[in-house]
Amino acid sequence: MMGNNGFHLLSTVLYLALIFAAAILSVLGSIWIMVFLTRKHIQGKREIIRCHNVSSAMVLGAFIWTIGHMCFETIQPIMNVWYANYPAGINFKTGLLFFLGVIVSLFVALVSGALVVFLALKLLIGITRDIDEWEEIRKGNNAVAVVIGVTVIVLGMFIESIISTVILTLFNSLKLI
Amino acid sequence: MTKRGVPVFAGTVAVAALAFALPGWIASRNRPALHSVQSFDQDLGRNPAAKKTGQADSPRPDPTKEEFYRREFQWTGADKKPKRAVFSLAKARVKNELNRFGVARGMEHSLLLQKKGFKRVGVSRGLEVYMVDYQKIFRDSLDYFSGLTRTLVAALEPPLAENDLIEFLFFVQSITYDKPPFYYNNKFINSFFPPLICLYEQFGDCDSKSVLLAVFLTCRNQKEKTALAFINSQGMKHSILLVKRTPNPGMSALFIKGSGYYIPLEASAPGWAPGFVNPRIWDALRTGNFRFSELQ
Repeated sequence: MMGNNGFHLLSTVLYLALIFAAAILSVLGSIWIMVFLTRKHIQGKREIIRCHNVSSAMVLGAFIWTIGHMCFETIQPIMNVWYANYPAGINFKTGLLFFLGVIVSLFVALVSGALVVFLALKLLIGITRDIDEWEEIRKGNNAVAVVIGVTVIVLGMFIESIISTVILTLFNSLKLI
Repeated sequence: MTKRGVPVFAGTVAVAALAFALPGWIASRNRPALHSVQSFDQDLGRNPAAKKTGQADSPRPDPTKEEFYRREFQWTGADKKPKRAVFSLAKARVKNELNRFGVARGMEHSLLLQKKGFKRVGVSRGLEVYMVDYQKIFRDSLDYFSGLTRTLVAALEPPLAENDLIEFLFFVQSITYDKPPFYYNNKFINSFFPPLICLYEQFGDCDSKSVLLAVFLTCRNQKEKTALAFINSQGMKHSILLVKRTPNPGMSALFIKGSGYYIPLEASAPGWAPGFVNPRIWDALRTGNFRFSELQ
């Protein structure tokens, strides 16, 4: 559709690169956020791989799910901008703006995901003042891990619906739409 | 007539005149702009042909001379350059279009509805349900739109065949989005403008603009397969155009059993490339909460 094989190949490469970047970003971001939130009391990798701590794995999984969804939500708007701009030709300026837009979009998604995780945990910790959630997870309390995971995922589901609008607004401000 | 009788008579005449004039005045106030039949002939400002007729010695227009409405559109093309197209819409054709579609107020009888561009889709709670016969309107518009499509293609410089879809989409997106009235020209039209009226009025809503886009695309490529998707879920009432194409990476596409892949085209709002729609609309589409209506 709409062009030659080179364009099709370029679109495919861009799409795969975006998926790859979103996946990497969500995994690394989640590990970093877990370490940051627990003030380095829980080292995600060590807990999961060496100690076989299922609770930590569940919480980390919920973080990856939430941030991953945020990052994947950015791919559609980015590809929309790509296809809308292709007929105008990609010169250095528009290419640079597009690349900048992609970087900022992924960063916005990562920050939004981190914010969601942070807010969800603050909410939960605020409600249950007499329980030290991180200590329970370190001990391997699966019940606490499920509650934390579900809270993070549910709050993420509410927020992820606005991500694509934010990204389109960003590209609009860069005058790429 | 006595002296007392004169003011009584004058008062009666005044009241009678008011009784005749007031409803007409109120009706004209309530009527949306450009919705009366008379406005076609009074539309001199936009019609150079009509101006010439007015300047001539004879006040009568030449019946053999076809008169046109001139409608100018300006938009930013897919190549980010400003575009301008002027469509000349034959007055007779616009009138004909208005005669063919819509039912006069108070005459919404089932047989008349079916003759005037509506079709029966079923019965709900004992009442017959009708909707606009989009397929019929689409087919009826094709012959006249071949010339208008050439005008649009001429406005796209340089016209590249592979960019037609996106260029046509951007043109239709640039047309003002506004919901047509239920009654237009005192006829029930169910808030839908046929493609020609959409160009004439220079505005339209989701289904009006989608059918307009479908007509342009089909006139450009006779083999183009188009369909409408009607979404009525999650508090949303919307329609989008579907075009049978192989989706590019990252594009949204629907697989219709027996027909193949269709990509959505959002004609209502600017900023959406082919194959991309609002996430809420896409949610409704991918979960199957839509009605598929093939145009061609």
